[in-house]
Amino acid sequence: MGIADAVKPVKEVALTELADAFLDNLHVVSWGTPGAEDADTIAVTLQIQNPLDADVVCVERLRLTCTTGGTLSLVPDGNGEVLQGSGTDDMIIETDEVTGSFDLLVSDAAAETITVVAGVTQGSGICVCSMTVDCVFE
Amino acid sequence: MSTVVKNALATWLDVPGTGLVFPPGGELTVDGITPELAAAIQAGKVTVESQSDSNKIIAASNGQTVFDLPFAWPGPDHAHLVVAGLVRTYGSDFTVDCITNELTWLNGGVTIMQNDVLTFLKTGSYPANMLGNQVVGGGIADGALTFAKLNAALLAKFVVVAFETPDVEAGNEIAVQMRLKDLAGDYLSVEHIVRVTCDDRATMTVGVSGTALQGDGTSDLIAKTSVLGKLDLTVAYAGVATISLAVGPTQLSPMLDCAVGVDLVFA
Repeated sequence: MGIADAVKPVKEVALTELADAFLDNLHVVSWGTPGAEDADTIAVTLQIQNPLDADVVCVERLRLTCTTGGTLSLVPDGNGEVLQGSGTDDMIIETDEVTGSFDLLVSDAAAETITVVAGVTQGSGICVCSMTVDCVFE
Repeated sequence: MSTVVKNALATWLDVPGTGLVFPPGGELTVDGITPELAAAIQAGKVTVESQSDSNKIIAASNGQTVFDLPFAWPGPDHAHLVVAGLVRTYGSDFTVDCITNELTWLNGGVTIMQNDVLTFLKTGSYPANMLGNQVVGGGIADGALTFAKLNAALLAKFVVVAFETPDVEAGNEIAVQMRLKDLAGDYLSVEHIVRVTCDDRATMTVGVSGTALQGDGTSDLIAKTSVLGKLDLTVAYAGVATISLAVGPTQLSPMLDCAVGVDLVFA
C-alpha cells in the first residue's frame, strides 16, 4: 500500500471512527415491527439509537403525531412516559431512562393504515426523526 | 523530525488546515511544521517544546548490540537501517523484536562504537495502522474521534443549549441567562434562533442580550441569541411555584441539543 492510500484525504472520516460519546449524542428514532392488532389497538416500540444502529440509553423528548383517525398512548406498564396528549393524535413523550425506548399503543376502530411520525420538540436533543411507522388496522 | 508543540493560550486552539486542535495549555507531537502552524508559532499562540529525530539512534557505548527503537517497528519492508554508510540486511546484520521494539545488532564483523549513528530510511509505503494521530490526514482508529478532534468550524455545527445559574427572585421576577455551547462544552459566540416555552401562568421577556422575535411577554417566545450566544430572560410569576423553561428548535434553528432546561423556584 502506498502512502497515497495510507493517508486518508479529507471528507473520509466514517461514522465508525467516531467515539462512543460522540455517536451517542447523535440520536436516531427507530421503530420496531408493529405487533398484531388486538381490540383495535396495535403496539409498536420506538427506540433511540445512534447512527450506527446501536441502542442509546437516554431520556429523549419527542413529539409523536399520527394520521387523523388514530390515537396514541403508552402501552399499560410500558417503557417511557407521556408528558402531554395521551389519547390524542398529537402527543409529547419521554423515552425510558433505562432503555431509551417508548412503548407506543396506536388505536383505531376503522380499517385503515395509521402512520406515526416522530419529531423534535421543546427539550429534545439532536435527533433524526426521518423514519416513520405504519400500523395497518383491518 | 518529531516536534512537540504546546498551546500557549488558556483557550482551545484550532490551527487551520492541519487537524490540530489543542486544549488549553495542551501539547501535541507533529511530524512537520505546516505554514499555518508556523504562523501560530510566530504569533506566540504555540510554543515549540522539543524536537527529536525519530530516524536516528546514537550508540551509547562501545560494543553496544541492543537498541531501543524510537518508533514502532513497521517491518523490514518499510524501514531500512544504515550503519557506516551501508544499508544493512535484516535478519543477518540485525533483527528487531516487535514485542519489545528492540533492535539487536548481529554482525560480529562490525563493532558499533559509542556515538556511532544508526540511521533509518523509511519508505513511502507505510502500514496504515502505523500512522499515528499526529500524522496529518493519517488513519483514525475506530471509535477514536472525539469532540476535541473536530475543528472549530465543525464543532460549532453541534449547538447545545445551556443555562447559567438563575438570579435570586426579586419583585416576582427571576432573571436567567441562556447560553449556547458546543459539544465540547465551550461557549459559542453566535446568533441562533430558538423557541423558549414555560408554564403558561408565567411570562418571559428578553433582556439586554438577545432579541425577541415573537411572543415577548408571553409563555411562548421565539428569540435570537446575541452575537455572543447569550439570551437574557426575565421570567415573571406571582405566586409560589416552580416554573420550568424548555428550549426547542424552530424555523431557522441550527442542529440543536435542547435536552437541558432550567427550573425557576418562585417562593
